Amino acid sequence: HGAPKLLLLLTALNTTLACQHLRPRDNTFAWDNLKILKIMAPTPSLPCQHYQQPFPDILRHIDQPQQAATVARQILYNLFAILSKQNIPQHWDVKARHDLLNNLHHYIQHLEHCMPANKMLIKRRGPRNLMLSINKYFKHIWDFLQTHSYSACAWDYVRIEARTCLQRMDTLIRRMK
Amino acid sequence: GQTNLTSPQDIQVYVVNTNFTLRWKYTGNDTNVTFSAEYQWFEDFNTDGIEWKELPGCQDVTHEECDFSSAITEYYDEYHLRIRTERKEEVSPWSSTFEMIPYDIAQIGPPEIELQSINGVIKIKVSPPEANKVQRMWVDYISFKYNLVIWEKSSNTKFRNQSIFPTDVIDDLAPDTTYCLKVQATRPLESKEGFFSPIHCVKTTRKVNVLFCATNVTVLALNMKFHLHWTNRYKQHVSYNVQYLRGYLKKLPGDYSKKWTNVSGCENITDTQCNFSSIISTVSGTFYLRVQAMNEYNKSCLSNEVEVVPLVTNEIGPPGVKVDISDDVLLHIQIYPPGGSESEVMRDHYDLSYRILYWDNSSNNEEEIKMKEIKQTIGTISDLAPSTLYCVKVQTFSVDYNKSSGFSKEECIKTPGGKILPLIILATFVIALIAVLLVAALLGFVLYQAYNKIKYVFFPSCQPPLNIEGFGEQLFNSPYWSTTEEPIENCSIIETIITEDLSQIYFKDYKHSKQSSRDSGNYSNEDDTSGSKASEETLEKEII
Repeated sequence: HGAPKLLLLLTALNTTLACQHLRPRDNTFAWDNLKILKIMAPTPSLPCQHYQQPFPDILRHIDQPQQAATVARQILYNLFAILSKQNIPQHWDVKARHDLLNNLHHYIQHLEHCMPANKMLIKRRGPRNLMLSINKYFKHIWDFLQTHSYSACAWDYVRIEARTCLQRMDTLIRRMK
Repeated sequence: GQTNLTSPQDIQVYVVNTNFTLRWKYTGNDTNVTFSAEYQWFEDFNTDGIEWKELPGCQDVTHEECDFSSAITEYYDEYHLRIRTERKEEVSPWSSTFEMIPYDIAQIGPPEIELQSINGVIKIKVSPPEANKVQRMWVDYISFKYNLVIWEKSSNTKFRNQSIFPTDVIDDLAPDTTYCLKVQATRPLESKEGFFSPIHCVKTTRKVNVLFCATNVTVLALNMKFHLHWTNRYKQHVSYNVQYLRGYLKKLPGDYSKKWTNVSGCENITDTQCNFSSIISTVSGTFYLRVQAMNEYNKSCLSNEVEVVPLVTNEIGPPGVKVDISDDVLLHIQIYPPGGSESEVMRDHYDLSYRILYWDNSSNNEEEIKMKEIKQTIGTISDLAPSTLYCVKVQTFSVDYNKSSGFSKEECIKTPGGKILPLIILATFVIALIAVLLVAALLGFVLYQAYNKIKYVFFPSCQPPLNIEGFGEQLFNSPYWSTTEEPIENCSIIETIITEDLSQIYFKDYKHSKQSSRDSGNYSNEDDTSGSKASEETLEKEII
């Protein structure tokens, strides 16, 4: 029992030390991208009616930096996938979108390189259920877009959820240290 | 009612994308049996009082497998399945329950691939699994990573594994050779590897070297100013277009080749360099750059791509330095961060530090160079000797990115004299003064003594013997007899008397001694005269 745990600890330590340049960007990642999101997708003039699903409790069951990194990657992948769809609304700023997507992608790559996913950490029921909750949350957003035929209001819902995502990401990133 | 029908055993569920298959084994002897399954759906992990429902697609099934895809809509919830054997009215007991979360056991189906053999390379386009499907297991298809396996058809053993983008180019291949390949989609985050696509084989063409292509495309970046440089052996009538692509676009499925954009300011140029700082809008992120060369016949050729990761590709320049000295022998160094207008960007992302090197330049020997590392832009050095010329140079570095700049210009400054130095000078002066005085006094004393001695030797003072009382006393007192006439006269007279007396005295003495020694013998005058000479000799001996 001791050996796998020790290996995990050593792996975590090694990657944390190896990727120190993650740190300066950590503090501003969420904030920088919230700004870009605001530029990309402004609040609509006519308010849309939204059903807001609760964001998964991502901080529960996370007690290790690598777990936090895995959850962060999961969220960012999903966010990246949705925002890179071809049929985004026309009134969204193209350059800001490029910047946001580039940032998300780069940070994901960084997490992949510096804190590779470890299946052992997600085996326990708590973290495993969390990963599933996140997937479910994003699937709901996809389905919502589809059901509402990618309307402007449907995309506005995406904007609100993206904002929530980035806000929670900030707390999650602090857990990665 | 229940009879002796055997329950199905070894229940397995296979999930590929959104296709759900239930499989089991029936070990009983009975024929003409059918199988029916039930399921429970635990929405949001709620496990209280859920009823068993009939599993659609798995009712009255004759084979040992059934497809129940239509029943499963939520891929992250837990489902329980069970199945039993049936024959008319007879039913077997329920099998053991199979518990599953679809997403956990789902496998990735094979992707589709399109190949194009062109100019000695193979262009590949991969469509993700479930492309164009409405209902998807892998909602975020962006996060697939594709794994390519390629080998020469002729030799079945030389396999090559590489990771590719959804749209990619496979180069490093031999021309006019048939290659076979297959691709699988993977999800590293869940440690899932999908099924391989069917094997495709294609023959490579010969590579045509276009003469006027841009070659040796390199990036030089300093203080966040990015420049692209290239060379071209064929210089005549060639114009260039520099194009860029945001890195993340390679990650998206679909053809990104149309997404290359011209860099403004580097369109239709003849110069073999381009400043593309304007397109680096985000500090994080990857950018790809390439050069499109056009000749006079409007034929174009694309160069190799160059990947730019702004913070990694960029090099940090040296800082500006200004030195100042304060009275208490403290050296103050003012550092101006590199980059000018871009310095804030560099400071934020690189977490810059500065390495100060300082040394004593006044002595010619190889003094050791001292170092101090600081994070602020003002440094102070205190362990300095006074009245010394010190030189300073500074280097910028980033620990996180393992980067350091060149050194700034050397700045030299002389430290002021310390308070101790005047005191030392004063003390030295005083001591020297005292020493000189002492030596002078000693010398004076020695000279005085010497003078006295000399005076005594060359000009002795004349004192008469004690038995000549009064006579010559007055005359003898003056050491210089020749000064007055009177004394001279007197001295000369006296001198003769004395000499006669002296000789007489001596002879008398001798006589006495002679007489005394020869008391018994006769002593004649003749002996005396002859003996006077002899006695003079002996007298001399006695005197001596």
